[in-house]
Amino acid sequence: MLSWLQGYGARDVRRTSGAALCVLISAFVWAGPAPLAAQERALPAPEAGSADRKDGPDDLSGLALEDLLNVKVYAASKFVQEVAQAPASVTIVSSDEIRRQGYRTLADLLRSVRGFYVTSDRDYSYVGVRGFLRPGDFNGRVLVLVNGHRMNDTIYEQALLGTESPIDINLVDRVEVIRGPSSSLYGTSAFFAVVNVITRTGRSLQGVEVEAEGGSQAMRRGRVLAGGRNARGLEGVFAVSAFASDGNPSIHYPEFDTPAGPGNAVDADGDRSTNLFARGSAGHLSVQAAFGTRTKHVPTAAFDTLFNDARLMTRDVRAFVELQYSRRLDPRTTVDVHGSYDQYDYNGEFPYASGVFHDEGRSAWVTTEGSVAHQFGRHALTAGAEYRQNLRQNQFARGETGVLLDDRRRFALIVTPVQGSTLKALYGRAFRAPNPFELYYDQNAISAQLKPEHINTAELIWEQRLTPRLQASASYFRNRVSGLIVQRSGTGDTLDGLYYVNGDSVSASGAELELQGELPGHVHTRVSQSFQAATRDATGQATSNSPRVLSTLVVDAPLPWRRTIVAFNAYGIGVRRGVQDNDVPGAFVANVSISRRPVARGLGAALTIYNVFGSSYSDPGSVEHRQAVLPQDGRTASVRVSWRF
Amino acid sequence: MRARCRRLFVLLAFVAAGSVVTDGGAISASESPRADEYRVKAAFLYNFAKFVDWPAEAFATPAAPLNVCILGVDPFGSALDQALQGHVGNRAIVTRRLTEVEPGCHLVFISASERKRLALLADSLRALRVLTVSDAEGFGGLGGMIELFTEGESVRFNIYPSEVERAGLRASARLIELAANQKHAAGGRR
Repeated sequence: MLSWLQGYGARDVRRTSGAALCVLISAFVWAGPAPLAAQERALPAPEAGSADRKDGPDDLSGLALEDLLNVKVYAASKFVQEVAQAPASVTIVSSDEIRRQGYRTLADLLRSVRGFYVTSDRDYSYVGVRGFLRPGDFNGRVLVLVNGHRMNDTIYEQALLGTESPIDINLVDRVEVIRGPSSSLYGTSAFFAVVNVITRTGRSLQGVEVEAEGGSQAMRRGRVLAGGRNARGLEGVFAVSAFASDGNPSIHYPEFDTPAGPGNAVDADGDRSTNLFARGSAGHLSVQAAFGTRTKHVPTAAFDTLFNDARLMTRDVRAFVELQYSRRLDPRTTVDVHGSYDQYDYNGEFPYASGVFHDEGRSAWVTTEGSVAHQFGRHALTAGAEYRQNLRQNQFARGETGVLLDDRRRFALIVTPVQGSTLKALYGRAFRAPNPFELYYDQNAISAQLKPEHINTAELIWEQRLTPRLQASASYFRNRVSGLIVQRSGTGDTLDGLYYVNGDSVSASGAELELQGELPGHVHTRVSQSFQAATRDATGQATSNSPRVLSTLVVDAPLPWRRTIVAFNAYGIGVRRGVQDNDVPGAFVANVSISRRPVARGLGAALTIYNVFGSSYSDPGSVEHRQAVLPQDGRTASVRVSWRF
Repeated sequence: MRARCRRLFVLLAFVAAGSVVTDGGAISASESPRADEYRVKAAFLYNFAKFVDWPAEAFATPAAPLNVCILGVDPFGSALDQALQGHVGNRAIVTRRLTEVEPGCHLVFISASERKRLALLADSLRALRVLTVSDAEGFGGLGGMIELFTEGESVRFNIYPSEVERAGLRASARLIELAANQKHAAGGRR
């Protein structure tokens, strides 16, 4: 039976020289299912996990209301309920999973997501989606939102995912990962995926949580998280965290071996960050603000800098404050008005024999946005306008961009042949304009001629609900990017020999299988296997940094002891081709945690061992590295102790 | 520098181990068995049906069954049918699974799958004189009557009596008193 059909298109005009004005009207047509004949049932076959008679009192409905309030429960994940009608391929990661698995950053979390892979060059973390991860790309093709606020900056359009992220992972309530282009809803950067981060609320916190963490590589971290809500509806959250690590004390890069000795980068991997976050709401008004600063010493001697020189470092400062007025005029109509100020500053110190070269990027921007949404039946219409003023957009070079015209579309056809099965056919089109960094950083005529890149995506998904809380899915996708903006090296005209061009068309197609939800015995799991191939259309040659195989496994289970949970996650990545035409071997990396959380108040503790099997693995180096591969850390451990009151 | 931090690591590990042992040991004596979240929520639905009065005209006959409907993706499975096997007064309970609003339901549990149109559903179901219950976050603020939520390891509920009354239904004082959002008011009266 045809369940629903959705399509919306948007066209927006943007001027980036100083001010950006874009008017966006999107129609969101949502044809509801012809009401299924109400299925009147006496008793479906007993389903595993939902009513395991062994645990808990047998006849709960015989209990008085007062007693029912005191029954302890195993919390269920709402994943299966929430993704059923989404017109996209979605993965939801909850705060429970984050804490149980000991994810340290958003980058750790994304590694566990189907079809995603993350590489690190010991400076930033870069996320690949379904076989696409281009060297020289600072995550500008993945949009990260924090409670709906855009985190990608206006020069590099960079999403900060590792320790550079201004949002501490402990603050996250859930992360929704939406694959495919969604730029008609969110604007530029939503090219391959949207990562929507939703923070914890005062209502769910109701108290103060203090946490201390220590671990290998002299890692230490402190966190304070406080939140609450009073009877009059005033709600607030405040978080502060500080982190420091000495990093890997000695990393051997054979490329830097000399007759005098091995190429070891010693004590050159330090990392330090401080994050602040506040959010409050009263009535229809809400405000959120974040500040994060991170300083990273880089041991790789990138950009032909002096080797084993701890002066090679980058510092990122990201801050924003956002004010929102949101009001429901009636159950069908909502009005939203946002105003925000954003700032992103980047500083880099690059030591050369001739002295330290200072690189910087400064950007600040103001955004105002208003929208009205109206629902009728299962249809919804949204109309809105956005105005963005770049207060400052200075990088090493500065420049003006012209007028850009965007054409983005997305369609979804969702069919429910029988209850529990969903078939989704998705089509998306988007285009991404070159960002100021790609256009002007290199100060050369080639980069300045960049044109937008286009993406066409098609996907077929079959989702099958196995039990009320367990879902299996299979999908086939095909993404084609034409005029993909790629970084090239080898011209003497530019500062660092690097420049950007519109490359050939690249196609990636693949299949993904996933099982997600709850198994009997309150075991939560997410297992996936993806196969993909990204090739250049002209030559049929595989693109670099694109694994053919990706596997993820996330599982946690309660131990017999009270509220103690053991958790295990692992990812496998197939062979990738490096930028130097080398093979980067595949890897299998696993992490294991044991944790105990207090119910409401009290002491909690967790121990996580990262890369528990100590597998030695490497990420590919990029064009700025002499190294073909960059070795990653072996086994490390961390202990967290928290107190809630 | 590194040696000092290694000592800190060992100390933290010690504290962590200690906390698990001492705390676990102290509380395990009073440990109560735990149940699946949706088995408990199903039992709550049964109680809501028991402690809310529908007007006589909501039923075709005095012995007509009370219809409990799940709207959207069903998170309960067989737990719902098990919990609702009993009677309310002399009425049997019939469970139905729906994808759209339909007349004939007395209590509708709105699944989190419908979270994008909670306000709309709360509004149209209220007009049909239906008791609306959901565990989708924010349901109370969007015109819902009863919002279920988990706090720590327990299931709690908020009730919005004015919304219940607008539908021409009556919630018993006992039900209202046990709601998490009414406790302060009840305490004040005493």
